Amino acid sequence: MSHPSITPGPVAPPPALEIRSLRVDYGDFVAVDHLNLTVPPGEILGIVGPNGAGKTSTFRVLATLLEPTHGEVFFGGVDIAEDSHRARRLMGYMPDLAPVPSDLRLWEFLDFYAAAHGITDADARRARADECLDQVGLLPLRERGCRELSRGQTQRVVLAKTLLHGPRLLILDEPASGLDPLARRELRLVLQGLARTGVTVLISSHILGELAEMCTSLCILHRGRVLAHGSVDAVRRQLGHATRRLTLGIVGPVEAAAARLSGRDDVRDLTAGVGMISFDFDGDDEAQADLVEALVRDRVRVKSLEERRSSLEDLLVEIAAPGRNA
Amino acid sequence: MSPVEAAAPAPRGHPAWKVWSNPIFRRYCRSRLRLRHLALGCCITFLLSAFIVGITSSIGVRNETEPESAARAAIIPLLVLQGFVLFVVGTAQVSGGMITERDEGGVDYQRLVPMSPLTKVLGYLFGLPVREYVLAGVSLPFTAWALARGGVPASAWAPLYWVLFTTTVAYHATGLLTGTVVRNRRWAFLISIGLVFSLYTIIPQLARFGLVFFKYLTITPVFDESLPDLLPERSGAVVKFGQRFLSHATFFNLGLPEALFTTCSQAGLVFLFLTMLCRKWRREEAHLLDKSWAVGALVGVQVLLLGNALPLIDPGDLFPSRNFRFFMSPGKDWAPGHGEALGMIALYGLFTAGLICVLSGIITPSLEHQVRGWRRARNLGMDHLPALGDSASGRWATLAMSLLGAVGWFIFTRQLLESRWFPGHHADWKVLAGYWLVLTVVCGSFQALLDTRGGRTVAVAAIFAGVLPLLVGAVVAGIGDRYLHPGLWIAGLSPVSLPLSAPLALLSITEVDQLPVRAIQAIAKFGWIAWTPVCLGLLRRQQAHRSDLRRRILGGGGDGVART
Repeated sequence: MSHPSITPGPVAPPPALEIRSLRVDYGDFVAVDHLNLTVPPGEILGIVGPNGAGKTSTFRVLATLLEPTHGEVFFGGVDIAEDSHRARRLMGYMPDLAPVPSDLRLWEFLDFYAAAHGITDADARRARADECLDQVGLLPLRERGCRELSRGQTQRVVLAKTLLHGPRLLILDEPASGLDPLARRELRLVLQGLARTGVTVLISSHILGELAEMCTSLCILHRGRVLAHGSVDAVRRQLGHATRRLTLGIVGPVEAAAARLSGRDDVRDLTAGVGMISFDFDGDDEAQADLVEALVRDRVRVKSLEERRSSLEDLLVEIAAPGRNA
Repeated sequence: MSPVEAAAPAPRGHPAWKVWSNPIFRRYCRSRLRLRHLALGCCITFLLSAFIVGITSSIGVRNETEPESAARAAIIPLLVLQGFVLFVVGTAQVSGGMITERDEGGVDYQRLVPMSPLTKVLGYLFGLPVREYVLAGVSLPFTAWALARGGVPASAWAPLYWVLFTTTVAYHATGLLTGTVVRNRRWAFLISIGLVFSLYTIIPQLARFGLVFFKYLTITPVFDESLPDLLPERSGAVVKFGQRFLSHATFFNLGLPEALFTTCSQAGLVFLFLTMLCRKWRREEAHLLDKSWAVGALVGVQVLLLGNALPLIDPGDLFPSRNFRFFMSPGKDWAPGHGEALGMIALYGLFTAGLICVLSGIITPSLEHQVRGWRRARNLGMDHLPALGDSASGRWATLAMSLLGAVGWFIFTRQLLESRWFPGHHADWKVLAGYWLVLTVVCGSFQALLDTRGGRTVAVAAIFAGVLPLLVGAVVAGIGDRYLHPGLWIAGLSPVSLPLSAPLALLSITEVDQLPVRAIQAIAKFGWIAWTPVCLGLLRRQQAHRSDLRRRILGGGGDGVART
């Protein structure tokens, strides 16, 4: 008797990182409160929040260095509490103000950790160490002592160490601190290159402009809770900061244009001056393009458009302001 | 294997026993054995060793002593030099190095690498002091020359140098433990030095007062045994004659060689320390010992204490007065007094109570641990904490240890009382019950207070209720004989005095002229009456505290703490 053959359907790969209902307490202080987060492979997620938001606690839990009060974390479907050894193989963690031993040279530092990660062959270790040093642009300094490095170089050495065992999930706590603009750009390129190979990157930083450029998505934490998560625009919308201030430069009389704009629901707070109109606009990029197109079609002679939005720094300052409740 | 995992290389494990290929050991070999750092130390050690050999030889020539005796004269100074390098400098290096490693973040990095906790511990244990091993090694050729030239038999130097190594490992394990556990850098170093100093110098002195086992934590017994062969011939002969009166390792009369028993004793201590360190490497928040290990450690210590002490009772070698009258054989002119027997019994009890309190302190969870445990239990749908888990109460383990400690004390006391030295005296089961109550009251109160109110409250209570009455009582009693009784009564207010005064109330050996026996007996009875309700109250309060925490977290679904 033949059994009907069952053809398995395509199984969706597990997310690179899944956090379920994570909570971390320090005595009476709740550092992370029911955090839920899912990150697909290849994403660069920026974790943003004021001091005390729970970023470092979250990162230390993900790095298996801190036991959460409760909650579950999965790396590619691997429960980090159940199988921390497998989880550690998948993950590379770079702490805030990452230190290096003062008594080793760069190549010795990397060789040590390559050996600790199970690369037993000396030639293979040397090749891997050089590859990682090259990736962060420090190969010419391989013989230099770790104590002779600048802050920025130290950050890059630790990043090289973090990359040694080929992690699929990078957890980087403030990796850009101490880096000059050129080094920050290099870091961004390295991370974007890794993301293209499917490596997922979690990164926290206070240099929010950098984060916005580097990350494919953002997660805003405040008092241990997620306030917003998604693309930069999505985060603005979730936080009620989707509005942008538009200023149109117009050749000729502005009254007709003002009359047309004031009739729209997505336009507020309109002021008209000589050759210019300024107003708050609630739409997204598509709606903004449509608006300009409509004005031109109505024979309004638009000569310029200036757009101003509150920066991520402004958002963070507002979030951190006393009296704001999550 | 998940698709994400497929890209990660599979690590190859490092067997813990292959210390020479341990990455941590090799890392320290690399950094601590750089020629420019090593050269100076090697030069100093070499010069000192050469000087020792040179000066002893020249004195030998001057005094026209035989070449063998002249060569032997260098052995002990060389041993002292090696001991200083390995014990003092090495231990400080292990403790300080571990603290530096933690400060530099190396410990966090190490937690993430795929090596077993034991591999990491052994890597640090042998890696951090690797320079000191090399420095001690520099002096070894001189020792080898002195041993060969002095005609010292291998049966004398081999056990000695083996125990020098095991003692070094035990010292270094102590430094590693304090460097790992104590968070404050300054305190870690002080505690490390203090612990090493007391563990290997002060505590072994307890051997003179009945707790014989402690001397086997040091190199002393094997050194004493080897001494006649290490000294110049004449001095060696004198020491050898004196050694006829020394007691040997008599662990339950098994007749083990000193070196073997010392090795086993130190291996036990190192094993306990390694267990603690591995637990810390496995989980940073873990207690140093779990409940069953704590009970096991107490039983182990009791077995070692009794095994070493009991065989020495009958020949009289256990008693301090006999130890101090070194060359006198036991006979009509010597017999132990009631006072020293009572003193040894009291010391045994006080040590046992102290050990139970230390172990209880290790296994008692902080409030934060308790809250976390209950929340985790709630998350897992459980209505109780795992009985042997770190967040569970240490009360039952403490009560069990009190019972086992009382049994150990009772065996010691009974053997002592019913020996040939105290005819007509007897210790029955009431004595056991009475002392169990004493240990339960003292250790149970300590544990309940720690569990409910935390370490700071216990420290305050220990100062004001435990130590202060003893100090005030001593001052008052010191004024004069008229104030002896008030002083004793004031000291009796301290629960710490209970294990000391209780034997006098429980036992029949009371012929002690120097002590006001009746007063001390009354004070002990007062202590029972006063402290038992206090202990019961604390235990009830502890129960209420735990029930309340359980109800708040499991019952109401609340968090058990104020929200931020």
